[in-house]
Amino acid sequence: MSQQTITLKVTRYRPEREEEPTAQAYEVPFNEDWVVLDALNYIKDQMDGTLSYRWSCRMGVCGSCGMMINGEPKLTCATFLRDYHPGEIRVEPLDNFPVVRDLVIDMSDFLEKFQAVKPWIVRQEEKPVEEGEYLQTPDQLSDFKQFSMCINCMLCYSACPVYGPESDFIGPAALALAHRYNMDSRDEGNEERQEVIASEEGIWNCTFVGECSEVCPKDVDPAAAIQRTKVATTGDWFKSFLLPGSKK
Amino acid sequence: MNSRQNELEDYKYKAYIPSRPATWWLRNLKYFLFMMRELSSVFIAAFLILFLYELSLLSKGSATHETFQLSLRSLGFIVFYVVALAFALYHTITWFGVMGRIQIVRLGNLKVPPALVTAGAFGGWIAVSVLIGYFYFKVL
Repeated sequence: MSQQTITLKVTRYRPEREEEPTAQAYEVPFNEDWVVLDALNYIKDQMDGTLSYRWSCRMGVCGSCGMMINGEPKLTCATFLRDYHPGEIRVEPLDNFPVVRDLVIDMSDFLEKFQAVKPWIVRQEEKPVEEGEYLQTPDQLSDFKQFSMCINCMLCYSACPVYGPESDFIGPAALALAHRYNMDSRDEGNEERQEVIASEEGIWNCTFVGECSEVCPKDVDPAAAIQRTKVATTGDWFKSFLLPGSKK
Repeated sequence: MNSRQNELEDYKYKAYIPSRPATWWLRNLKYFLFMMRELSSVFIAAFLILFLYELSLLSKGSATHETFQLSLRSLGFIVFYVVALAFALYHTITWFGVMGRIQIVRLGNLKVPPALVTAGAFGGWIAVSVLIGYFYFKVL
């Protein structure tokens, strides 16, 4: 019995010789246990070494291999060929980002926004090491654990219809991470982050489409994080309005 | 600043910036439903403006108010009210549907499960609707 095949229509963009991306079809062997990334690696190794794309861990942890698969943002290491066979698979670079080459997008805008929300524990004053760890109860951990699962794959930015036309928007992953640290009992950086997250480009730009949460491969639910931040920020505003000088 | 940093700052590459078609919201059902939820606000706002106008007519005497009320029985207004009601229901149901994800409710040390928060919102809505219906049909 001859080997079954599947066709991948892959976006090619070679800036030195093309003004716009084009689609190139590759017929690759179909294997039940292959994911789209396996097929791309097959193309790269066996058919066309000039194809460019990002990948690293192949196990849904590094967040490098996000691409549009038949119009939906997905991790190619977690997207099986069998779910599309015998149909074709369209592989395109992530939506809403400039394309540098083939399937490689420019992620610098995301990284700037990511850094702007200070996604690390901020302390006003560090306690001496000899005083030990900052302890946390399981209940306190559960307040933010879900939002700490983000792998920065940018699928949520690709799915967000607000980030597309308004690239000033801080965006789902960065805002979810800001919420994650604001909810962390060890953190004291709420006010420092507030300037960014409560700005016009922050939470209030989100219109709760919810698609960011739908495409998230780690069930982070950035949409919920943003809405919860809206509720908390509004509460803080009322508190400062009614009790001027009070600390949050 | 060292030479490597200078080199990085000077580095410019050509990148393709994709354009977004005006019909992006027709690309999938979720985007379409989101746009319908946004559109629902227009109908709800129009209904409220009409309602406020009707209230303002009360100050001009019952005859003026009744004349306006009669005009609301025209086919155009009935269609508008049916569409506005459908959009208001859709808006309310979708918002209450996600309430459990957004609002964390605590009872002492206990976190109320999201499904229960959502059920509470729907329950409260039904209770208030029944109460208003009771006053409208039995008392007034």
